[in-house]
Amino acid sequence: MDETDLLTRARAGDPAAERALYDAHVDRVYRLAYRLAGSDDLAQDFTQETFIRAFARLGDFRGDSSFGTWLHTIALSVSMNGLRKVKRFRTREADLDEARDHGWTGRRAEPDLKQRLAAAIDALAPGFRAVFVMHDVEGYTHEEIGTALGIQPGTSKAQLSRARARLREALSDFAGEWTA
Amino acid sequence: MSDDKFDEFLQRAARSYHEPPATPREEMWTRIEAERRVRRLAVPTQRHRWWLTATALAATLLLGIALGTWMEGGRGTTGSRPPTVAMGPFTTPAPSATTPVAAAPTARGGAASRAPAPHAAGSLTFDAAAADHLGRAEALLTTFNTESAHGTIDPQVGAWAGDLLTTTRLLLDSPRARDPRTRKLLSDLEVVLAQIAQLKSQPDSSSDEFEIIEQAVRSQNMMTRLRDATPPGSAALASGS
Repeated sequence: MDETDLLTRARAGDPAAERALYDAHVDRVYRLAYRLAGSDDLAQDFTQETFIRAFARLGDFRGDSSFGTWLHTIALSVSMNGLRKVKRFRTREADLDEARDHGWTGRRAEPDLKQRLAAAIDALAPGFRAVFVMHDVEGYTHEEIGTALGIQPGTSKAQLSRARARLREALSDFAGEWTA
Repeated sequence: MSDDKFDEFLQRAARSYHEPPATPREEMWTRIEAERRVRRLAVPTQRHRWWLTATALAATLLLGIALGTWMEGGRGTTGSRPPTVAMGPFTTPAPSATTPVAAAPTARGGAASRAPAPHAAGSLTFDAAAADHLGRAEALLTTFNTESAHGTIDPQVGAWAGDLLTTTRLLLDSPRARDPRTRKLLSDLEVVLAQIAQLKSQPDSSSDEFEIIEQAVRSQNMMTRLRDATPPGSAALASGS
């Protein structure tokens, strides 16, 4: 069924349509929430709150952007507000034992490097981190990021560039990893 | 070392950053449904905040009395009413002893003076009420802008937005609201007021949400449109009232 039809039915309170919208978007929302939070509990909380708010405000959705983009705007707002409160993600240690191989074509990253990289990403300012995670980790376009964060795509590009520069500086000890 | 190489390396390495597990769909959906049921049940409790309702009712009542008084005054003094001045989309009569709406007649944009026809009293009344209301909205948005810059919004601002939201809806529903520009402005204002009013029930509202509202105000050129539609001084009077 077309998403527009689902939205119409969901606005009328059809639970099946709400569930269909949830199924279509929950993976991406949860992934983003998890990437930002680094914790399953927090990611679940943020995802749940995102859908609760979205369903409550479905009448406000005018279709100026796609439903997915609108949903991600809410998800980002919920996640960033939530993270400001708890700040637990900053002290979270990466579980190196469960680290998996994600398509390395060259050398595997050493545990030290992964830890340093995670710490460096965590240390980025919230706006830079959101742009970096959305673009470089989750593959969002600058247009999608701009809409979700309420900034221009050019600003998103600039923030990504600055985020990368800071990460490069933080990882300068590992220069051999990417120059090899 | 090249930037491109580093960017490629970074994108590969960052994939393991906070690697998400499989989405716990059913678990979350169960909780979402439960939480929504709880919140639906909580709504009547919030409605018992009588003072909010009372404020909205009082504002509506005052608006009705003001309109009635204005119309009565207009019928009795049509022949001796001083000329009025057109202001953008609105035409506001000069204040008199019986005028409850504070709106000084001032020429704007070089508009010509003209006297109202007796049968236009209803329109004039609507225009005056709308101009007064938009002045109050301008004052609210100015206050919101100032407070959001400091990172916190007084809950009273949310309640204030809620009251203005009620009046905005009343004006939009009025058969006198025929001017497309006025209707568009009121419609856009309604959305922004709803967003600000929503903040009052979300104490965790953050600068991101403030920024979204501010951006909506900026992108729609809201302040300029409000100022153009409002007699000079109305906002100050509204904020002081």
